[in-house]
Amino acid sequence: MSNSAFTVGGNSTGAAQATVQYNVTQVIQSSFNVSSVVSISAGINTINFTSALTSAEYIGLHSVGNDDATTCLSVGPFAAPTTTAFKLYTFAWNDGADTNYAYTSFAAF
Amino acid sequence: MAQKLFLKTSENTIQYISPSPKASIQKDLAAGKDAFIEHCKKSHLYDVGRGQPNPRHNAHISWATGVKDFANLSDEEHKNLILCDAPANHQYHHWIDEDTVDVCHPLRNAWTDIDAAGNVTYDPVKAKALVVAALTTKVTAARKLVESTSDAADDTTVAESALAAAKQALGNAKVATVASHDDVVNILMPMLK
Repeated sequence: MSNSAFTVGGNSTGAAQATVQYNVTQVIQSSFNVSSVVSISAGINTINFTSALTSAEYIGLHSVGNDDATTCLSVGPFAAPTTTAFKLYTFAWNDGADTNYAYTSFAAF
Repeated sequence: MAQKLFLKTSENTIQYISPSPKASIQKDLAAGKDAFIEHCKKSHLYDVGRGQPNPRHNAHISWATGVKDFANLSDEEHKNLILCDAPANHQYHHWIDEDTVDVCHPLRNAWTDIDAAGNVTYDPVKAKALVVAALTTKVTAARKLVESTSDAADDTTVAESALAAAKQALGNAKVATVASHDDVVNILMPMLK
Protein backbone atom coordinates (compact mmCIF):
# COMPACT_ATOMS: atom_id res chain seq x y z
CA MET A 1 0.00 0.00 0.00
CA SER A 2 1.42 3.40 -0.83
CA ASN A 3 1.51 6.17 1.74
CA SER A 4 -0.89 8.23 -0.33
CA ALA A 5 -3.59 5.66 0.40
CA PHE A 6 -3.66 6.68 4.08
CA THR A 7 -5.83 9.44 5.45
CA VAL A 8 -4.99 11.32 8.65
CA GLY A 9 -7.76 11.33 11.19
CA GLY A 10 -9.43 8.03 10.53
CA ASN A 11 -8.55 5.61 13.30
CA SER A 12 -12.14 4.36 13.26
CA THR A 13 -11.42 3.07 9.74
CA GLY A 14 -8.31 1.19 10.80
CA ALA A 15 -6.05 3.38 8.69
CA ALA A 16 -2.69 4.42 10.08
CA GLN A 17 -2.49 8.07 11.09
CA ALA A 18 1.31 8.12 10.94
CA THR A 19 4.12 5.73 10.04
CA VAL A 20 7.89 5.94 10.01
CA GLN A 21 10.99 3.82 9.70
CA TYR A 22 14.38 5.31 10.66
CA ASN A 23 17.90 4.01 11.13
CA VAL A 24 20.54 4.06 13.87
CA THR A 25 21.29 7.76 13.33
CA GLN A 26 17.59 8.63 12.95
CA VAL A 27 17.78 9.12 9.20
CA ILE A 28 14.18 8.62 8.05
CA GLN A 29 13.91 5.90 5.42
CA SER A 30 10.18 6.22 4.80
CA SER A 31 7.39 8.11 6.50
CA PHE A 32 3.81 9.22 6.41
CA ASN A 33 2.63 12.21 8.45
CA VAL A 34 5.94 12.36 10.31
CA SER A 35 7.90 15.59 10.07
CA SER A 36 10.99 14.57 12.01
CA VAL A 37 12.66 12.32 14.57
CA VAL A 38 14.42 14.02 17.48
CA SER A 39 17.31 12.23 19.19
CA ILE A 40 17.21 13.29 22.84
CA SER A 41 19.89 10.88 23.98
CA ALA A 42 21.02 7.38 23.04
CA GLY A 43 17.92 5.16 22.78
CA ILE A 44 15.41 7.94 23.44
CA ASN A 45 13.81 9.48 20.37
CA THR A 46 10.75 11.61 19.77
CA ILE A 47 8.68 11.03 16.63
CA ASN A 48 6.97 14.28 15.62
CA PHE A 49 3.82 14.26 13.51
CA THR A 50 3.34 16.71 10.67
CA SER A 51 -0.41 16.99 11.28
CA ALA A 52 -1.69 16.37 14.80
CA LEU A 53 -3.45 13.06 15.38
CA THR A 54 -7.15 13.03 16.19
CA SER A 55 -6.68 12.18 19.85
CA ALA A 56 -3.90 11.26 22.26
CA GLU A 57 -5.38 7.79 22.80
CA TYR A 58 -4.04 6.28 19.59
CA ILE A 59 -2.49 2.83 19.31
CA GLY A 60 1.27 3.10 18.92
CA LEU A 61 2.99 0.02 17.47
CA HIS A 62 6.76 -0.19 17.27
CA SER A 63 9.58 -2.59 16.55
CA VAL A 64 13.37 -2.41 16.48
CA GLY A 65 16.11 -4.58 15.07
CA ASN A 66 19.65 -4.91 13.87
CA ASP A 67 20.89 -7.05 11.04
CA ASP A 68 21.53 -9.83 13.58
CA ALA A 69 18.43 -9.07 15.69
CA THR A 70 19.95 -10.44 18.87
CA THR A 71 19.76 -7.91 21.68
CA CYS A 72 17.23 -5.21 20.96
CA LEU A 73 14.07 -4.18 22.73
CA SER A 74 11.66 -1.26 22.38
CA VAL A 75 9.54 -0.35 25.37
CA GLY A 76 8.05 3.00 24.41
CA PRO A 77 6.35 5.24 25.11
CA PHE A 78 8.89 6.93 27.33
CA ALA A 79 6.32 9.62 28.17
CA ALA A 80 2.58 10.04 27.78
CA PRO A 81 1.71 10.11 24.06
CA THR A 82 0.44 13.41 22.72
CA THR A 83 -1.39 14.37 19.54
CA THR A 84 1.81 15.81 18.11
CA ALA A 85 4.55 13.40 19.19
CA PHE A 86 5.44 9.94 20.51
CA LYS A 87 8.57 9.38 22.58
CA LEU A 88 10.08 5.94 21.98
CA TYR A 89 12.62 4.21 24.25
CA THR A 90 14.85 1.40 22.95
CA PHE A 91 17.57 -0.53 24.75
CA ALA A 92 19.62 -3.73 24.62
CA TRP A 93 18.17 -6.45 26.82
CA ASN A 94 21.52 -8.14 27.48
CA ASP A 95 23.21 -5.22 29.23
CA GLY A 96 20.42 -2.64 29.56
CA ALA A 97 22.31 -0.02 27.55
CA ASP A 98 20.14 2.66 25.93
CA THR A 99 20.70 2.00 22.25
CA ASN A 100 19.57 3.06 18.78
CA TYR A 101 19.09 0.39 16.14
CA ALA A 102 19.44 0.02 12.39
CA TYR A 103 15.72 -0.49 11.86
CA THR A 104 13.15 1.23 14.05
CA SER A 105 9.54 1.25 12.86
CA PHE A 106 6.50 2.97 14.34
CA ALA A 107 2.86 3.25 13.34
CA ALA A 108 0.01 5.12 15.04
CA PHE A 109 -3.59 3.96 14.60
CA MET B 1 24.15 16.34 1.37
CA ALA B 2 21.34 15.90 3.90
CA GLN B 3 21.44 17.97 7.04
CA LYS B 4 20.32 17.53 10.64
CA LEU B 5 19.22 20.29 12.98
CA PHE B 6 21.46 20.30 16.07
CA LEU B 7 20.34 22.32 19.07
CA LYS B 8 21.39 23.08 22.59
CA THR B 9 18.67 22.71 25.19
CA SER B 10 18.10 24.62 28.39
CA GLU B 11 19.21 21.45 30.22
CA ASN B 12 22.68 21.96 28.74
CA THR B 13 22.47 18.94 26.44
CA ILE B 14 22.66 18.58 22.68
CA GLN B 15 19.76 17.09 20.75
CA TYR B 16 19.51 16.62 17.02
CA ILE B 17 16.54 16.45 14.69
CA SER B 18 16.37 14.37 11.52
CA PRO B 19 13.82 15.82 9.10
CA SER B 20 11.54 13.83 6.87
CA PRO B 21 12.45 14.57 3.25
CA LYS B 22 10.66 17.52 1.70
CA ALA B 23 8.91 15.27 -0.83
CA SER B 24 7.35 13.16 1.97
CA ILE B 25 6.16 16.23 3.84
CA GLN B 26 4.62 17.71 0.71
CA LYS B 27 2.59 14.51 0.28
CA ASP B 28 1.45 14.84 3.89
CA LEU B 29 0.34 18.40 3.21
CA ALA B 30 -1.45 17.66 -0.05
CA ALA B 31 -4.81 18.84 1.31
CA GLY B 32 -3.45 22.40 1.20
CA LYS B 33 -2.80 25.35 3.46
CA ASP B 34 -6.39 26.11 4.53
CA ALA B 35 -7.06 22.48 5.48
CA PHE B 36 -3.80 22.30 7.41
CA ILE B 37 -4.49 25.49 9.37
CA GLU B 38 -8.04 24.34 10.11
CA HIS B 39 -6.68 21.01 11.37
CA CYS B 40 -4.16 22.83 13.60
CA LYS B 41 -6.92 24.99 15.09
CA LYS B 42 -9.06 21.93 15.88
CA SER B 43 -6.07 20.13 17.39
CA HIS B 44 -5.28 23.19 19.50
CA LEU B 45 -8.85 23.26 20.85
CA TYR B 46 -8.71 19.50 21.53
CA ASP B 47 -5.51 19.80 23.55
CA VAL B 48 -6.74 22.89 25.44
CA GLY B 49 -9.99 21.04 26.18
CA ARG B 50 -8.15 18.20 27.87
CA GLY B 51 -5.99 20.58 29.84
CA GLN B 52 -2.79 20.03 27.88
CA PRO B 53 -2.30 23.04 25.59
CA ASN B 54 0.48 22.48 23.07
CA PRO B 55 2.38 25.46 21.64
CA ARG B 56 3.33 23.42 18.59
CA HIS B 57 -0.13 23.91 17.05
CA ASN B 58 0.31 27.68 17.06
CA ALA B 59 3.84 27.28 15.73
CA HIS B 60 2.44 25.27 12.83
CA ILE B 61 -0.23 27.87 12.13
CA SER B 62 2.39 30.62 12.07
CA TRP B 63 4.57 28.56 9.79
CA ALA B 64 1.71 27.72 7.39
CA THR B 65 0.61 31.33 7.22
CA GLY B 66 4.00 32.30 5.87
CA VAL B 67 4.25 29.55 3.26
CA LYS B 68 3.75 30.75 -0.32
CA ASP B 69 2.87 27.49 -2.05
CA PHE B 70 2.05 24.30 -0.13
CA ALA B 71 2.61 22.23 -3.25
CA ASN B 72 6.12 23.58 -3.71
CA LEU B 73 7.88 24.18 -0.40
CA SER B 74 11.17 26.02 -0.55
CA ASP B 75 14.18 24.59 1.30
CA GLU B 76 13.85 27.38 3.84
CA GLU B 77 10.16 26.66 4.41
CA HIS B 78 10.99 22.98 4.88
CA LYS B 79 13.66 23.87 7.46
CA ASN B 80 11.32 26.24 9.27
CA LEU B 81 8.70 23.48 9.59
CA ILE B 82 11.30 21.22 11.22
CA LEU B 83 12.24 24.06 13.55
CA CYS B 84 8.66 23.89 14.88
CA ASP B 85 9.68 20.47 16.32
CA ALA B 86 12.51 22.00 18.38
CA PRO B 87 11.94 22.66 22.09
CA ALA B 88 10.64 26.20 22.49
CA ASN B 89 13.32 26.97 25.07
CA HIS B 90 16.31 25.76 23.06
CA GLN B 91 19.22 28.14 23.30
CA TYR B 92 20.63 27.93 19.79
CA HIS B 93 20.65 25.67 16.76
CA HIS B 94 22.71 24.84 13.68
CA TRP B 95 21.91 22.99 10.48
CA ILE B 96 24.90 20.70 9.90
CA ASP B 97 25.64 18.08 7.25
CA GLU B 98 24.69 14.78 8.87
CA ASP B 99 27.99 13.09 8.00
CA THR B 100 29.99 15.82 9.73
CA VAL B 101 29.01 14.87 13.29
CA ASP B 102 29.54 11.36 14.69
CA VAL B 103 26.16 10.96 16.39
CA CYS B 104 27.04 7.37 17.38
CA HIS B 105 30.01 8.58 19.44
CA PRO B 106 30.34 6.75 22.80
CA LEU B 107 30.26 10.04 24.68
CA ARG B 108 27.24 11.41 22.80
CA ASN B 109 25.23 11.80 26.02
CA ALA B 110 27.95 13.99 27.52
CA TRP B 111 27.89 16.61 24.77
CA THR B 112 27.27 20.10 26.04
CA ASP B 113 28.04 22.39 23.09
CA ILE B 114 28.30 22.22 19.34
CA ASP B 115 29.41 24.84 16.85
CA ALA B 116 28.23 25.44 13.31
CA ALA B 117 31.03 23.25 11.94
CA GLY B 118 29.92 20.26 14.03
CA ASN B 119 32.69 20.44 16.64
CA VAL B 120 31.42 19.22 20.00
CA THR B 121 32.58 19.77 23.57
CA TYR B 122 31.87 17.53 26.55
CA ASP B 123 30.93 17.74 30.17
CA PRO B 124 34.03 15.97 31.62
CA VAL B 125 32.17 14.72 34.70
CA LYS B 126 29.40 13.18 32.60
CA ALA B 127 31.96 11.77 30.16
CA LYS B 128 33.92 10.11 32.95
CA ALA B 129 30.73 8.61 34.39
CA LEU B 130 29.83 7.18 30.97
CA VAL B 131 33.26 5.61 30.54
CA VAL B 132 33.17 4.08 34.04
CA ALA B 133 29.68 2.69 33.39
CA ALA B 134 30.74 1.18 30.05
CA LEU B 135 33.85 -0.38 31.58
CA THR B 136 31.83 -1.75 34.50
CA THR B 137 29.65 -3.52 31.94
CA LYS B 138 32.80 -4.90 30.31
CA VAL B 139 34.08 -6.23 33.64
CA THR B 140 30.74 -7.91 34.32
CA ALA B 141 30.75 -9.52 30.88
CA ALA B 142 34.35 -10.69 31.27
CA ARG B 143 33.57 -12.15 34.70
CA LYS B 144 30.64 -14.12 33.27
CA LEU B 145 32.93 -15.36 30.53
CA VAL B 146 35.40 -16.68 33.11
CA GLU B 147 32.61 -18.45 34.99
CA SER B 148 31.30 -20.08 31.83
CA THR B 149 34.62 -21.36 30.46
CA SER B 150 35.89 -23.50 33.36
CA ASP B 151 36.11 -26.71 31.33
CA ALA B 152 38.41 -25.44 28.57
CA ALA B 153 41.86 -24.39 29.75
CA ASP B 154 42.71 -22.22 26.74
CA ASP B 155 39.36 -20.44 26.79
CA THR B 156 39.65 -19.85 30.52
CA THR B 157 43.06 -18.24 30.07
CA VAL B 158 41.70 -15.90 27.39
CA ALA B 159 38.66 -15.03 29.49
CA GLU B 160 40.78 -14.36 32.59
CA SER B 161 43.05 -12.09 30.55
CA ALA B 162 40.00 -10.19 29.30
CA LEU B 163 38.71 -9.83 32.85
CA ALA B 164 42.07 -8.58 34.12
CA ALA B 165 42.33 -6.04 31.28
CA ALA B 166 38.80 -4.80 31.85
CA LYS B 167 39.38 -4.47 35.61
CA GLN B 168 42.58 -2.52 35.06
CA ALA B 169 40.91 -0.16 32.58
CA LEU B 170 38.06 0.39 35.02
CA GLY B 171 40.49 1.15 37.83
CA ASN B 172 42.40 3.58 35.62
CA ALA B 173 39.19 5.31 34.58
CA LYS B 174 38.09 5.73 38.19
CA VAL B 175 41.30 7.48 39.20
CA ALA B 176 41.76 9.47 35.99
CA THR B 177 41.66 13.23 36.50
CA VAL B 178 39.39 14.75 33.90
CA ALA B 179 39.17 18.49 33.53
CA SER B 180 38.87 19.24 29.86
CA HIS B 181 37.70 18.05 26.49
CA ASP B 182 41.26 17.03 25.61
CA ASP B 183 41.48 14.94 28.79
CA VAL B 184 38.33 13.10 27.80
CA VAL B 185 39.71 12.22 24.41
CA ASN B 186 43.28 11.49 25.48
CA ILE B 187 42.69 9.67 28.78
CA LEU B 188 39.26 8.09 28.77
CA MET B 189 38.42 7.19 25.20
CA PRO B 190 41.31 4.67 24.77
CA MET B 191 40.02 2.79 27.81
CA LEU B 192 36.82 1.93 25.96
CA LYS B 193 38.68 0.12 23.19
